[in-house]
Amino acid sequence: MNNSTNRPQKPWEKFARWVNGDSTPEDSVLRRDEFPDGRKRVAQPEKMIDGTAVGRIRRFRKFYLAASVVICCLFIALMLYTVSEMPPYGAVDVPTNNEVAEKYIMDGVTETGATNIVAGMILDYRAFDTLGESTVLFIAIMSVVLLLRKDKEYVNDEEDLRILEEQRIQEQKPNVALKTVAFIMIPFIFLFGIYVILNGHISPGGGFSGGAILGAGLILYANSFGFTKLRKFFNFKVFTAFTSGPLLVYAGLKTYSFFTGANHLYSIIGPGTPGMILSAGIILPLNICVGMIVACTMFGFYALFSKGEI
Amino acid sequence: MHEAHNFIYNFPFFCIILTMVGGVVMPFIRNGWIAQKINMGIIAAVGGMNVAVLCQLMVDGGKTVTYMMGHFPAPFGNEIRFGPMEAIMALCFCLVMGMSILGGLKDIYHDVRKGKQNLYFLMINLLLCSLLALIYTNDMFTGYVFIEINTIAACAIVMSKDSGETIVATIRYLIMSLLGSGLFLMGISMLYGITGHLLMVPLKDSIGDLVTSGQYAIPLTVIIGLISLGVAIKSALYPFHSWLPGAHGSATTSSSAILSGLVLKGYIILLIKVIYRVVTPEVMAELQITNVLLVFGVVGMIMGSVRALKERHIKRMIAYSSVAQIGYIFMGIGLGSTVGIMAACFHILSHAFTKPMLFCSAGALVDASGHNYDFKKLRGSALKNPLAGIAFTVGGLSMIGIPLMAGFPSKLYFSTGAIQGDWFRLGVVLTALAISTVLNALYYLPAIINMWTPKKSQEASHGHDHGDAHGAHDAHGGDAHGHAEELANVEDHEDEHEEVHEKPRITVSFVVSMVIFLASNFALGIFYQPLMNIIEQGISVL
Repeated sequence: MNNSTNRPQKPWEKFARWVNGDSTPEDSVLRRDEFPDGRKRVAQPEKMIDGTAVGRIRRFRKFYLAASVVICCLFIALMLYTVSEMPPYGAVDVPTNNEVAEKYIMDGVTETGATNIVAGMILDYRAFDTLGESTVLFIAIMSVVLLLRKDKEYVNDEEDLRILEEQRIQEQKPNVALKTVAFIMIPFIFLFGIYVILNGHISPGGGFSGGAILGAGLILYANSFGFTKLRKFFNFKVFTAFTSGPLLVYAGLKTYSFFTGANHLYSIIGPGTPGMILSAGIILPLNICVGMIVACTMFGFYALFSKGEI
Repeated sequence: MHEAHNFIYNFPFFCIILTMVGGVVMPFIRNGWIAQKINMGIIAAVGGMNVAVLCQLMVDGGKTVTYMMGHFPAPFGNEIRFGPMEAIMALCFCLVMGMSILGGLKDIYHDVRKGKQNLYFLMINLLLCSLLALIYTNDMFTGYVFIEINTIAACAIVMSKDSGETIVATIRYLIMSLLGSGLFLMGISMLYGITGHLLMVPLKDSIGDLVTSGQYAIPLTVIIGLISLGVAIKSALYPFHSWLPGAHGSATTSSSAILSGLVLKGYIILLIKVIYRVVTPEVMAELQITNVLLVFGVVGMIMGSVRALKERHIKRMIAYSSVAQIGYIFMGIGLGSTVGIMAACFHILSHAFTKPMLFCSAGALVDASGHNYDFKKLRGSALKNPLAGIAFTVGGLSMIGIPLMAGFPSKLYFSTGAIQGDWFRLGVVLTALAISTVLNALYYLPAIINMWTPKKSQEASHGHDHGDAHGAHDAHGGDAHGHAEELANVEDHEDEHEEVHEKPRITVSFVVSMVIFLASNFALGIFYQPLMNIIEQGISVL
């Protein structure tokens, strides 16, 4: 880069050049061959063709492979040894069979009103963790939106052409078998998902599993009838409302519950009669919220990764 | 440990919920400018609430308060717990977060796409939420859940500047960060396997029983090792630092500032809480884990500085300096004494106030020299933006440890901590401190001298060839993105561009941010005693 590098220098001059930032030591600054808009990077000959540099990378690759195998084997050996020293799984007198598990099983139904003890644990005893987990889903889908969602201001013609072509092919080939089966199946899939969510506090299931079923139904619908048809009732605005809205409701309901609990105030939410559909306090609305978030997240991942748009 | 009675003791819970709700409503707000104002309001409100909590805690004699999250007490339901240490950390984190956003505001509007700026502030709000939860939590699993949020939000604010470089850096960061989370999760699940608890207070009792009875000694060692290793990877302790320079060096200014100032520290605070509330320092010392941390910390202090010395990209140099500073903090933890932990806590704060100031001022200097990151091109940039120059100078001197600035008291306390230990540690720590200080001076002083030296007029504007011009674009891919018609002309305009922008526009938000950063840096450097008293009180009741 600098013509002056070739001539010999006194140590002092060298130091002055270093202070000025004129000498650039070789370093592994992250390399990129293409700009986002397709413009090629001008190759820097001294870095890319340099024999020693390429050789070093090759040697490092070999070292890397060998080192990763060795580290994995060591880690597996360590973990196996540790697990062999751990208390046996499922035995009666292990530390996990303590007063906590006993209380969940013995008093869970009377204290939370949920006959499904797991629902009582995750949405009442440890509801703060589940609020965090729902936020993890929310932030995951929102970061994918941040990364992949197409922008009106920055269009990529090539990408758009590809998607239009795909749509055209899809419309030309009326996939009769898929459409017919989907037409029959989808109402039942949605119904089953809603059933699992609504009965989350009575029977096995709940927001997470029911939401996954709903999400799968949405993906099936989009695949068999096309995204354009789906967008008539499920566009980005609806998606945003169905992701943020339930989380806000969850946070609001739980704020009330945490506030009354921590300050030992009277709470209007009671456990109700265990086994009834309208029982178990706020577990039912929380399950509905979680179900909506999970369904939107699943479908959102699929739509954004395949089309870059919801 | 006391139950909450005062209304003010609800505030930490309100802080977590407020930041979370602030993040969740962001998709509804399309305008980035409004989103930023809401974000600022939330940060100010949370900061104010933490001031109230701190005052109330000090009035009540510096105690620790347990706050039940729901209707079920300790081993059955979730809990948060806070004392003076947590309150002061949360307060400083809010202050640094707000100032980092203000300091890099111009770059946020420049680097993040217009339609997605609201999502950037969504990530910032949830990042603050997770940091607060990590500081306040009294439950290992809650800690893990919020580590997940923290990981995703941190990666998202790196990639929000949409260029190939940041995407590569984000992928590296994500892989390393998930590895750290995974190790931490394995540690927690095995810990649950041998104790049957997840809340910190019952965990401490069961671990005490296990240690006295000698049961499950090997799993316990492995568990503490896994948790420490997970935290070390996520906070870039030396041999696990490879993701850091890329992520911090390529992100937009505010993201770099927040990542280095706060995100790295959130995990360390959780580790300190685990050491004091779950494992106890005695057990850590008995299992030799403190010694391991000490060795890694000392190596990191020196190697981070050596790597920074070789770096010519200003933001990557500052990022390598963070590796060295993380080494200091782990060395403090590795000393195993209360003074060591106090020094580590103080260094968390002093670094949290200094490094964002360096990143924000470096961002402004880069802006002043026409978006160049090379030292060569940054020459004389401080003369164009003197405030940024002063902030960079003060930050650099503070990192070196010049008295009156924030870096000095922490080095003083590290030395004090070392003197209280045995001869071996004294020798190792003092030698490492001396070498590291000299190395810090070796890379910060040339940078400072360079940016205050006027540019040689001819050489500067015509000396570089096209390779350099491309390097400049490369480092600033977000700028080039999308302006297809401009691209062809950019190269030709590059030289004029530098000449025209002699006086860059200095925004009010930048001035506010720099003045507050400078003031707090000197405040930490001069009036450190009251802060140390609060930290000491906080650690004694942790």
